[in-house]
Amino acid sequence: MTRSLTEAELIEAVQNLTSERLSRFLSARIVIPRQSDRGLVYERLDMARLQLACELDDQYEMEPDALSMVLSLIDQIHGLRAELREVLRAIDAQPDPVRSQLVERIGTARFRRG
Amino acid sequence: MSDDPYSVLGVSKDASAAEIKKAYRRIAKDCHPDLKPGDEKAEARFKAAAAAYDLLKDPETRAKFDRGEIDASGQERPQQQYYREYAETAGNPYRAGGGFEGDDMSDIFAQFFGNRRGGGFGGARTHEFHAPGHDVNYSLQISFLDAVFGATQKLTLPNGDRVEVKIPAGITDGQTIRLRGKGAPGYGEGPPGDALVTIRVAEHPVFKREGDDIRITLPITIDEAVLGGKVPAPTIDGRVNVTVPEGTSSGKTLRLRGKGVRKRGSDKRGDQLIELSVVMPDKIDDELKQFMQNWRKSHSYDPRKGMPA
Repeated sequence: MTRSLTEAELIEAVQNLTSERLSRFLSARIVIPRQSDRGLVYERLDMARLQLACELDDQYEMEPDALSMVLSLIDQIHGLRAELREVLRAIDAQPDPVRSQLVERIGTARFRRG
Repeated sequence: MSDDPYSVLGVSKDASAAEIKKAYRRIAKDCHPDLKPGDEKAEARFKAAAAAYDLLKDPETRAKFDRGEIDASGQERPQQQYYREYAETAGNPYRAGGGFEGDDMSDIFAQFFGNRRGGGFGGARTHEFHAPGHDVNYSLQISFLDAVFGATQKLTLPNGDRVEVKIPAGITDGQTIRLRGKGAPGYGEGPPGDALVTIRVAEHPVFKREGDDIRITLPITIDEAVLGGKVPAPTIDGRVNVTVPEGTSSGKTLRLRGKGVRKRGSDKRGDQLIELSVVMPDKIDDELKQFMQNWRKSHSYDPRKGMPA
């Protein structure tokens, strides 16, 4: 696993991230650093998340709390996608008759509504 | 796809800066790869729009491009790490827990597997469900000066464990610290969740935080305001003497460089701002009253000159 970053390394690594901006993002819980022997550290995932937060902030000049909410919705969508993929993989591993039954069932549920 | 940044953004050559920004925002909203995961067409469109916007947002580079001094290709953005490359991974700590406690998607799984275990299948035990435990939120109140200088605080968890929370110097109100593995136990063989400790910084009667700066209001006497002089002032490092200039009015602000809070990711510190406020004596005695009455007769001045009547 790659090494986690200190605050100074993080500010250096993320485009358009300043010390003031990081403070504002931290107060809105946009990222949550981890306590370690080296002080608070950030993972690669935090870095990519902050990059996205900076971009959204630049594009839409959002309140940090609004930005935090948008990111949490994005997280939920990603989570949902990952779990949906798990379910589909499980369906795919079923014997043929079961699979076609499931496909039919899901298709019906999706398209016969309304 | 066209190389012309104007047609990439769908604006005319004479579009205003605001129109260009608006066009870019619209494409970013529809096509940002982190908002549209898995859509390659959208991603290509976003990248082209981002490159076009980079070129056109700065009036100088835009003018250079318009004059043909640079071409559209020279403005490629540096390789970017997209959040979605991490966001879907099982280890994404922001997916479970966080702001929507108890509402994260794993609960759908947990409920599903839980119900099945409960007996839907006539006692035929299905496989155990494994998932990381929930993150647990805690709140920790610290003093203003502990936030400024950093401190170590003990937190007692519901199971009786005591954990140390190391508060770094310069922490701001609302910041949260992750203590790995100190949350709820995992489902099945899943790892435990994290403890998320949100720091609440108590107000200080004298010092106020403004980013990395600290602001105080310092009362001075009328004689100090008129004559000027050295006046003692509190700072977070202790008392210092500041020079009040002759003829100081309320609201004048002095700046002590480097007497503020440590900046994040650096050894530098912000400043302390001292707003001076002239305070009258408790009692206006006859001597002062008489002096002012005499003084007024020959020294009138109008600080409200130019204000609307």
